[in-house]
Amino acid sequence: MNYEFQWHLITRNWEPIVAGTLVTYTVTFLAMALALVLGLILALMRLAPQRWISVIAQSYIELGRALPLYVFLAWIYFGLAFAMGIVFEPIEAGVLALGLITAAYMAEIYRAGILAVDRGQFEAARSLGLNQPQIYRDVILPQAFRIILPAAGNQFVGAFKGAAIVSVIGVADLMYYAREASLEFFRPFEFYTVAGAILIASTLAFAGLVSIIEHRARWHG
Amino acid sequence: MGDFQVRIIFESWRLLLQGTGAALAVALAAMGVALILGLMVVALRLSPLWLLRAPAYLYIQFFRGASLYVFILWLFFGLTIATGWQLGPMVAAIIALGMLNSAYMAEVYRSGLESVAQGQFEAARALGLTSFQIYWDIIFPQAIPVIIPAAMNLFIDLLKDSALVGLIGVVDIMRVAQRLSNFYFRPFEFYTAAAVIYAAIVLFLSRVVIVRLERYFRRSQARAV
Repeated sequence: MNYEFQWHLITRNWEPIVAGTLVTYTVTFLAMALALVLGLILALMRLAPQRWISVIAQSYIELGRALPLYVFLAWIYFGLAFAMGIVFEPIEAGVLALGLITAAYMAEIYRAGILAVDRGQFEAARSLGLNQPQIYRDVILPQAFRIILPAAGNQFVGAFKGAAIVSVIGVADLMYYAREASLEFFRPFEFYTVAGAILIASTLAFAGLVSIIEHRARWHG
Repeated sequence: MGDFQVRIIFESWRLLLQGTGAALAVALAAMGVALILGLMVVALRLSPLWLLRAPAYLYIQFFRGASLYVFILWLFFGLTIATGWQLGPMVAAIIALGMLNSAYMAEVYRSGLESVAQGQFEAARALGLTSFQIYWDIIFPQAIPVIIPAAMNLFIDLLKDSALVGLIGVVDIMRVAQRLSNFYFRPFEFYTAAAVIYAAIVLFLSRVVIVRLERYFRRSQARAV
């Protein structure tokens, strides 16, 4: 092995590495925000007494969980945009694809949380004369949120791992820069190693944070 | 958007089928690697020796934190240049997918083994069986109903992840879709075709195969009781 490692290239180019990392974080947070809102809507639709509403949500959830993220990303950015004549910024398409897919998983998490709330809570709330939106907003969802916290945290970690691939459509994130720099300096080992280390460290840090929050929630429950 | 040309998709069926075959081949080979490697990792993970247990624990944590895209690029572009090894895209894809999923597979094995009642170990030991006999004859057959459906779920995730292998040059479904899109200048048709193929395979595995497997194991357990 007569390869000369040139780690000084990394220290000399730290600025784009930090900027790229922040883009990866941004994509994750925006996508997760979208998934949290859309996922809740889907879960409520899925539990609706009207069969056709439930079927729509169910189809979305099934399809969203069946599609690989990369396939969906390429479909939105190259396919749909082309057919509809919409021009997405890469980062918009990245957030949209990651958010829409994660929403399908979040919907199942919300649903499990809502179903885990004791039936008696529904009945008690109804007998107090609360209407349907009040029952959900004031009684069921606050209890469900606590139940779903660990699962939602894991989903966040999964979304972060997924966000690593958005550079394939040209989002200028950490991996994008690692590829550019590898080509420029012909040093893929150094740059991919650093990118990988940053992403794994972030993933483990997020996972650690999730378990701390989980513990807190349990003790204060 | 009114002119969705289904015709050009059907015209290209042979290429799409080849891509599907390549994707399935990579996924199956990687699953083979994960099954074997995962078994070795779980053997270390459950070892009474701290020195064996710790590296297995770190291995599992590391690969569960790693994203496939990063690992596959690191392996195929980074490591090969640094070490001078020549890995074909297919081999690199199988190694990357296999190693990553061996960590998850190790956890699947562990949850299966831990689902077997503790009394079974004690009874087997009391009968004078060796460690190997205990695992091979007593514990494993009972863990299988837990392990197989979970392994099947893992395979579905692996197959979905494998859509990325086109990025290092394996001519899989996505690579074929990309080439056909460029050739016909109709990306919507071909990425839709790719999405339909993936959704069909995944839904078949999750809605038909896993449901049947679970039913089968429930029945055979009912017979055994």
